[in-house]
Amino acid sequence: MRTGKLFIMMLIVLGILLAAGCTDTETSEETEDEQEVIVVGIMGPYTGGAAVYGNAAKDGAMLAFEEANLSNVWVVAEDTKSETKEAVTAMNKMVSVDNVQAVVGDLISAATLAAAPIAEQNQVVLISPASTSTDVTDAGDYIFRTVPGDDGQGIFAAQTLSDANYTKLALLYTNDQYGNGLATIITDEFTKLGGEIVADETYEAGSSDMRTQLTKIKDADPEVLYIVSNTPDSSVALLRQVTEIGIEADVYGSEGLKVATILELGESVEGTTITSVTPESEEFRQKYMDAYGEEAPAFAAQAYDAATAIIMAIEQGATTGEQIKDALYGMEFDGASGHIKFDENGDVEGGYVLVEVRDGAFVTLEE
Amino acid sequence: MIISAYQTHIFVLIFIYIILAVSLNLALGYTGLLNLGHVAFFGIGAYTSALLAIEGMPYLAAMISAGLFASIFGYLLVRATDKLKGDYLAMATLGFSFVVYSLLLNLRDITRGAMGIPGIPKPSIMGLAIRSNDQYLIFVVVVCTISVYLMYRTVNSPFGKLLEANRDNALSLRVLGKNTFVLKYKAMMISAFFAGISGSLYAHYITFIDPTSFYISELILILTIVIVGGLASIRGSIAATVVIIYVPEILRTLDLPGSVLGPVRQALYAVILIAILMIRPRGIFGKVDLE
Repeated sequence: MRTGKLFIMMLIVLGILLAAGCTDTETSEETEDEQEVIVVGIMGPYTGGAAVYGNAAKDGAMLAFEEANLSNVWVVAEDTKSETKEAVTAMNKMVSVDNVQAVVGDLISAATLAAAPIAEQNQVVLISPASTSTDVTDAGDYIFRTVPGDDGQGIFAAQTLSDANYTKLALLYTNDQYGNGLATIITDEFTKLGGEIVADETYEAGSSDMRTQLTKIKDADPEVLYIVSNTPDSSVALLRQVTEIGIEADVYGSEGLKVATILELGESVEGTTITSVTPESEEFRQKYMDAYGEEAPAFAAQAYDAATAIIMAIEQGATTGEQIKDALYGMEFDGASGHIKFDENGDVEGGYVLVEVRDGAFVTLEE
Repeated sequence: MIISAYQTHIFVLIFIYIILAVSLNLALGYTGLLNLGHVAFFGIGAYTSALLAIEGMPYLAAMISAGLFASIFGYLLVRATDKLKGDYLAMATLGFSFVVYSLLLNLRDITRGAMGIPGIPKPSIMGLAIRSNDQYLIFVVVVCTISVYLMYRTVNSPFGKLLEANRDNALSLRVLGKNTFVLKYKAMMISAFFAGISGSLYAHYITFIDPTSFYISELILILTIVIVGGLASIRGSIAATVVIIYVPEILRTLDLPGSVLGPVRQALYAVILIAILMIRPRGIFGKVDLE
């Protein structure tokens, strides 16, 4: 009997829940029609492993919307927990409940790729501030990004290494979308330029013991080692172990190595060279500092630019996703993260610089 | 449609997870196999179906293959862990989850590794393309109903009673001349089969899969559903799936300031689950305790 009663109670609760869900849908649609508001979404990981970047991107985008202060734009934010399923849920929710016309997000390439078909199908613009996977290029007409893809950095890195007359390269990278994407492109480009990949090693994202891989790399006797890392802890552990194992090769790395903590390793990291996207503008750095009281973390500037692009499209008179999309393809401006001009795939070219560790500080080299 | 595409989406997820949760309950609740490798079957199903469909196999065939392939792994898992019980079985099956995750991540030529598989085609059955959320919902409801009905029949058959006997007292069952190994692998194969089917439904619905979609957080989610719903109770698993997938969505409608939105929702969600388990320690409709 007790279970019977419980079952009925559950049904009632469910009924209430459903009702709550439905009313919400109706009210938001009503306001929609009355005021002709253009709803813009922001989505990204606000909890979980990538929360730091997600929140930074949200803050960056919000900064742009607050500055523009458009009366007919309404912003909604959704957490995607860096999970593909959550990204699909968030996208569905924003498209059908909030009726968004454009979305800034997601950060993680996997989440962006999962949300892309829904954006495409519903003619909603999706601008990612951080997804670098090459697959995003072909994700669809409505999919843009303000961060250059892996191919940009990969080609730049391969070119740099080749220009420095290295011929034997060892690669060590995180076994995730970012690491794999970058490594594949570097391998292709570097081989094309006449170099040879003598070692190709991966490590699990977030791990801190790469001695096995580094020992193998040492045996392969490369002239240069290129490291792809995207967590500060792994970067520090890696660089420390490179010295420990006694690898003689010069060390290069992706922007993930550009974290203040590696400087604490002192003498041993001197001369480490990092390929990195062009740093954010001084103006944006100041604005972010004034608004949030801290240094702008990675991707805040890219998110700011994504939001700016949407705002500019709306100011030009675009009201639907389709119009915003058309406006974006014809747009060109100098943003916080560099020059923004979307090509036919919705990608930006982006610029890269070399950063070297010199006397315990990161020094940007002139190209 | 009366409900929005968003509501439809939530229901699609609920039905996919009902198949997954009920199939786990078959192994965990009914047969007493403390299986933490269920998420691996889900992943194997998703990858098998996605890869076959991309190669051009018709959807239904790909879906069935996904189930069969997962159930082969179910057999192998029981074969390898036959001598283990309780916590030890849990450890070994958890290891199986890690191994499968690792394979998905490192068999790059087949699975594209961490890059994941984008652009998985939406199903099309006998020339009937399933495109919108509404159509997918109808399709999922049909598959879910058939699956749950089959599993319901299984656990209520004489064979199902033997499974429960194996859970409650495997030794006595062996004394009575029953081969518990056969029972266990049959149960695990059925369980894995339906996990594979739900993996296939998931992959073709989300249209993008990568190894992280089939890892610890997913495992915890389905274990939570089964435990909150109650062991050895199909309607418990169904009710719990609805609660566990739907509650976070209700929390979405709370108007929270952006800065605390993520964490507050997560915390509220946890409180609700703890409350359920405090009121009903065996889960909503649970009948048995696992040793």
